[in-house]
Amino acid sequence: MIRLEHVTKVYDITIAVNDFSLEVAKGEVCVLIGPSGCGKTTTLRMINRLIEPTSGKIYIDGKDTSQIKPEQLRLSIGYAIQSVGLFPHLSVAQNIATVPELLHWDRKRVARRVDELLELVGLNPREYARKYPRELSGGEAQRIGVARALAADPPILLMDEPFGAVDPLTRERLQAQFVRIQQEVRKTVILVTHDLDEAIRLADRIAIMAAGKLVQHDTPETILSRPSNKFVHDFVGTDRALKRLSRISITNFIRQSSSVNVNAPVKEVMAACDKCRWVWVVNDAGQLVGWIDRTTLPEGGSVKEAIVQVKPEEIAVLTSATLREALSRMLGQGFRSVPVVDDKVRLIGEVTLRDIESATAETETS
Amino acid sequence: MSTAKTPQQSFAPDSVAVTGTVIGLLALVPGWLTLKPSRVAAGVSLKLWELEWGAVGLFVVLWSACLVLGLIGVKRRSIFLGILANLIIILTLIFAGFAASRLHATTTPIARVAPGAGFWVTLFAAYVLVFAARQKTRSSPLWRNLLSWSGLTVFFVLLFLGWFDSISVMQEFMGQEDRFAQELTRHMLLFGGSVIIGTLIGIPLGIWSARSRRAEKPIFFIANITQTIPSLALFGLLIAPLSALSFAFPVLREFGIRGVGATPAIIALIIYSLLPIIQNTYTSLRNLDPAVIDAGLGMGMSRMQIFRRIEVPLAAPIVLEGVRIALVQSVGLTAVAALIGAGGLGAFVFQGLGQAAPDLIILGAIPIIILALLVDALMRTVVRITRPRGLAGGGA
Amino acid sequence: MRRPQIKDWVLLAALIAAFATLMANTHLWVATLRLLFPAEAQVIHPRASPLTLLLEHLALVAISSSITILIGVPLGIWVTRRSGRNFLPIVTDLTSFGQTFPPIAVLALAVPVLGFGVLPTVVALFLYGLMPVVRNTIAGLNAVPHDLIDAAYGMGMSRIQALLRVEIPLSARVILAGIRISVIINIGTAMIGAAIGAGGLGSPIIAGLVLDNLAYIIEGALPAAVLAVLADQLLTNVEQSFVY
Repeated sequence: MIRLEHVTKVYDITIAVNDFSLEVAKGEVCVLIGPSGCGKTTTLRMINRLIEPTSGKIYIDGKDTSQIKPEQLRLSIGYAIQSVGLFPHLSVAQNIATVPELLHWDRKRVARRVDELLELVGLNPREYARKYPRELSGGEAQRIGVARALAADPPILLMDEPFGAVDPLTRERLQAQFVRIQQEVRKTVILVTHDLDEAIRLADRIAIMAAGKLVQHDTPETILSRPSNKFVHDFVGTDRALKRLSRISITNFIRQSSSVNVNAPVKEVMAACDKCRWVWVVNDAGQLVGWIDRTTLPEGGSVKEAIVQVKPEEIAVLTSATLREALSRMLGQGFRSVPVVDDKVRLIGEVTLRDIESATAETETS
Repeated sequence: MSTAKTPQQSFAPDSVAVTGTVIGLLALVPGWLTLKPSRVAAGVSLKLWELEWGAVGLFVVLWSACLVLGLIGVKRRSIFLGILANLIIILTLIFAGFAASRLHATTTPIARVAPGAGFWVTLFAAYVLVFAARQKTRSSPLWRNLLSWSGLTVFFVLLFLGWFDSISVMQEFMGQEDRFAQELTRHMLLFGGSVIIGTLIGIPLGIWSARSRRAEKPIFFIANITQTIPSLALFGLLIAPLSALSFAFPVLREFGIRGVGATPAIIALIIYSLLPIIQNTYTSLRNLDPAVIDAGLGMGMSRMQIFRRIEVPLAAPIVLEGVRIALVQSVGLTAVAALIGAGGLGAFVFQGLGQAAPDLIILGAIPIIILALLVDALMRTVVRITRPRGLAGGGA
Repeated sequence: MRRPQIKDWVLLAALIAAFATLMANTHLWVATLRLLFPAEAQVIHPRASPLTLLLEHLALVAISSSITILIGVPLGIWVTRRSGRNFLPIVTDLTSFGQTFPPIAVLALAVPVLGFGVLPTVVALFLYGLMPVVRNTIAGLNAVPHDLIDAAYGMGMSRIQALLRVEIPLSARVILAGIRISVIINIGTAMIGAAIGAGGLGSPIIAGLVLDNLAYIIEGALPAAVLAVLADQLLTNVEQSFVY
């Protein structure tokens, strides 16, 4: 769908992009990654002609982009940048409506689309449509930036470090959301990042660049298991096995776990599970509130007295998490299993260390 | 594809320089000198070719050379352009003085010769050219300064050599030399003295407003309002009460305090200089990074030491910027005060307006402008000097 | 800096209405001035009523400021575009140089060239008022963050669309500040214009100085001061409506 052929960009005496050729299929997420100055952002900006190539051609759907008027080209491509660039003098709704209005959509259609997009990125339209950028948090602004890029339903989306400007926790949530949205809308996405973990998590294929050249273009699994040269090998780092775990969602690894109500008497703990040492404690709504160690159980009394209270966000993972996060949580807390909760903090099940070990073993051989 | 220096840079036409040369060529058309039978009568405009054909040829050649240089690219063309432009300025000045003397010699002594539009526009066009050349040249600062200041220097040299004595303004001046010196001194005393007093009042007020939230609002409210009031109106509003005062207490008149004249002028000038000084003092103190003061306190410095060693050097350039603004503003305001009898260079302007004598008007207006420019340049240098090394540029 | 609320506008409108009504009421002027200056035979300048003087003054300022805006803002826009970029340094230099000129000198120099009356005054006001407007237009446009302009182009806006939809709205406040400064200076300079026969609120002051009549002076000075303060407040309100 997008084809770059021998694209080169030269500034004065610097060669920013050197004979770069790439093909991105329809509906594919291609992540451009590389060290600082490798030319990834320059390449991205040549696709929508914010920068003109010195030589080489770029084809979108078989059409040569240099033959299309730049404004027209860009109206049909979504563009999201790191600093988001929301217009401060326009409301959220007006921001999102920018491209549709440039395309002369009628007002009703625009309004419907704005509501649709806000829901897509997980924000309540009634609450957010009238807000102004200065009232938004970093994560909200980033999501609206994505909504704005998707407004006119372009087939292609270009993103330049779209999740870079927020804290790690928000970034993780935004990435999860991106995966979810992409499953729904199936755009052709070219995303630039310097964060390898992000690339591994989001990409269908990764294009690694160095000094303006394409070094390897493969699926994340292949790059991790068969780096093509020393540069890629060093770039992905020595924890390749761990990185691979971030490609695997925990959904298939969630086990049923035993739990007991916080108001229950102690003897129910025995009943909940006689072979386990630790049992999760939930409240009446089913939400995780803590755990109990059977070996330190007092005689009689209630669970409430013996419970070790925890904050769910410190020990639990969401159902959208990856094996890597689960493992990371386990190691951090010193447990061998980690509880899985839904978005209302209700206990769903757990993932155990043993299961992760067998998953790692599988991926080693693949 | 890649080369050491992109060729385009040297060969692109310098649009600013070309604009300058076009203006310069057009400036050869309107009258260069105006011959008036007396200082108040209307004059006859004399074109360049009526004065001297040779001059026309000379200027056409010079401007064309500049045009060609501006369009094509040669190595170091900016230097050549700059030299040519300065040459044009010098020749224009020399020619004006020479032609004026020649004309004057052939007419009655009370006739006046004034520079015309052609003369002024030529100088402007040459300025555009000098500016463009200075912008683009890569030569050393020495060359750049030579380019910028040669024309002006020659002007002053010629001025003092009496080259321009036949020109109307100089004729006017020569009839008023003593008075000119007197009014100039008066002008400087008025604006200088007022700003000094304004600074003495303004800095403490600025410090107070920076330290006290409650004082901030009223101080700025009053300062802002007074700044908005037109100068003539403020003078007027002060005259009535001052007149009443000087009638009620005749002793004041012994001290020269009366309704009109210097008194309302000085009071108004002080009021006008307050806002820039208060504003800048306030900003300079507010902009101080509290961490720096904290560090000072932590080191064991006393409040007075912190004030002297940290706050003052850091705040000084910004406060001096405020003083600069107040001074430049006051040069003009003092000129207006001549209307209420305060004297100063404005007296020439208003007298000239009253007599419909343009030369008298110019005799007042031009020195006022030069004075403002000099004060501005001087204060900018002072600000630059007092800016502690290591501080980024940019003030209030 | 906050956006002006409805009550700010209402208060301002009330003050302006009160001012206009007072100015229109010549008898009130006569009575008050007679009270303050019983010694004067004539208390208001016979040439025109206070209201006429005010309107003359407003006309001078309005005409010159309109021309200034019509020429100054496009000029400021042009030198920040690709086509005019070459001229940005010299325009910046000329405007900051010109701003150092005392306005009275500019007004005075207009007379030998254009004679007396309204024309040289309007021309001088226009020229002098150009400086703050051009400078602020340039500063305002330059202050728009680059990533916003990048986002605008990236979305598919043409250069003109980006200018009209993004750059100008975001620099509106600074540009309006420049216009406000220009107008206030013009109100002051127009006072001196009375000395070259342009009329306005300066003429009773000058007449009062010549004839030694304090009432005339107040007749001109007081409305001028109030006019300037009200105009400043009005324009400040307008300017601060563009805070985002």
